[in-house]
Amino acid sequence: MGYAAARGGLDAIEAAENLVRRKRLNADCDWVTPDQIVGRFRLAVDRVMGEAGLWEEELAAIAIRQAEGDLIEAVHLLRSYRSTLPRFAYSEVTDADELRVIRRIVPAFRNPPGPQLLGRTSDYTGRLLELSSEVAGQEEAQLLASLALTQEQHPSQPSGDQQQQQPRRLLETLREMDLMVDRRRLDDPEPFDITRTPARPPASRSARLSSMSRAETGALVNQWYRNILGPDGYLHEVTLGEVRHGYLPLRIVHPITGNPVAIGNIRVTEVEAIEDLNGIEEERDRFDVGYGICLGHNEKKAIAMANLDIACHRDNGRSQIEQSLLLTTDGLDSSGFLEHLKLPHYVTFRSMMERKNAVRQARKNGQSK
Amino acid sequence: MTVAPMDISREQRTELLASADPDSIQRLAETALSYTFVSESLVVTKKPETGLVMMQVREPVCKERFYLGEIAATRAEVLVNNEKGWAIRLGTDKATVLGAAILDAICEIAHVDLSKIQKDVEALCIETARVESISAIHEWNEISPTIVNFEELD
Repeated sequence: MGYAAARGGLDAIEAAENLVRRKRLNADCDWVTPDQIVGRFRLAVDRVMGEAGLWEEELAAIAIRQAEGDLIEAVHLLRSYRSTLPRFAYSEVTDADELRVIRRIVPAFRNPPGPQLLGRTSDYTGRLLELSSEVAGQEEAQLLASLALTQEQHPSQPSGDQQQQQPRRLLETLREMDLMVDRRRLDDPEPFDITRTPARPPASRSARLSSMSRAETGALVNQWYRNILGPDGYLHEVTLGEVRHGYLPLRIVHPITGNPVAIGNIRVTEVEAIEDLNGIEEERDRFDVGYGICLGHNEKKAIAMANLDIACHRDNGRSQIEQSLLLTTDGLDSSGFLEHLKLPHYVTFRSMMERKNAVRQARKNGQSK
Repeated sequence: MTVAPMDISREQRTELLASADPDSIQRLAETALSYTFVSESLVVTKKPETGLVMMQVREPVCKERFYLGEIAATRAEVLVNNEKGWAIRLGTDKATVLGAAILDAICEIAHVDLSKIQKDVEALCIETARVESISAIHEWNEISPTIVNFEELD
């Protein structure tokens, strides 16, 4: 079997491209607007923005529609678009303590400072597929909307006090009880920008946090699940200190006055995972804590991230966990590599076949001697 | 943000125009441009452009800064009657940002003909602050019934 150069397939590729476009644009149902996607599939939109590392709901919705619901493909589209945009600025530093919560639970402590605010969550709903008719669903929607109107308090009432909307962290309480390892830094190192330089181990913590905050959700959950053993090799208890969903202000410097201006609020999910230290060289009479935060509402991702943050810190380069986190959890990297397998590998595979035949021939020659 | 009438700093104006109703901004900008000396002196020094702001967050465990992700925003800069106007807004709405930059410049010009439109811009800012405040109250009213009240058992 010799090697023969070949060309072709361009017409077929163009036809396939046209087919996917035509079928997508002319699907046998109503057109879907970005508003509908943002309103009805908010968690998918949030996930795509988080994994793309780009906050813009309408663009994420357009990407989801173009990708026909394939979220990793939507992330790919959004990252491609992002790569065409200039960087205006690095924002002023927003302290995570400024988070205004719309959901906040503290699984570790019944009476933390501030409320246990369940907010909008499906944690307590039965996982039963709602098979009611479309008409019945719309009627229920109208009923719930009118009920909400009648139950609504007067809008001039204050919107909760600051303690409720910006509650102190359980972490602060545990620090006051001298139960936490104090890892607060006195210096202020420049953060690592993973959009400029790929993060490689050993990486700074800022590089790890940035990488995990835009990692693929499933990959991060999988990494956490594979690594829930402590440094002693035993399964260890992790307790969540904070699970928060809320708004963080985005501030930049006004170019004319030089003063900071808040140009909007970004929704994020934030988690603290309390670690029961039990290693020989660790402070076993104290706890430590891992931190997770990502764009949008994505609790699975933030929980996995917080656990992996502390796991990485405790591991201190002993295992390959940091390498795994930095090199295998980016959805675009992994799916890009996977997708390339579908491209023609005719030459590669032919050479593999030739090697098999050569081995076989060599074996036959050896036997005949 | 609570804003008292006639008490808006340039920074507050920028913040409020960044979230003000797009139609109202464009309508006011069109009114401003109906003055010949405004339209004739208008120079778009930086045309509306969509770009990225990298969000920098200080986390609570080690008090370290890190980059959370990028935010898409659109900005524009103009010169009206030699006064600079600048605006930025989350998202990709170029027409509204250009209108806001024009209004920002208009508010810096000392000209008697513009006092009405300057008051209208201020009124729009106050209305935006009011709408944001009411929206926050509505949101809290919706979620506050989900606060858990534990009952101590004997």
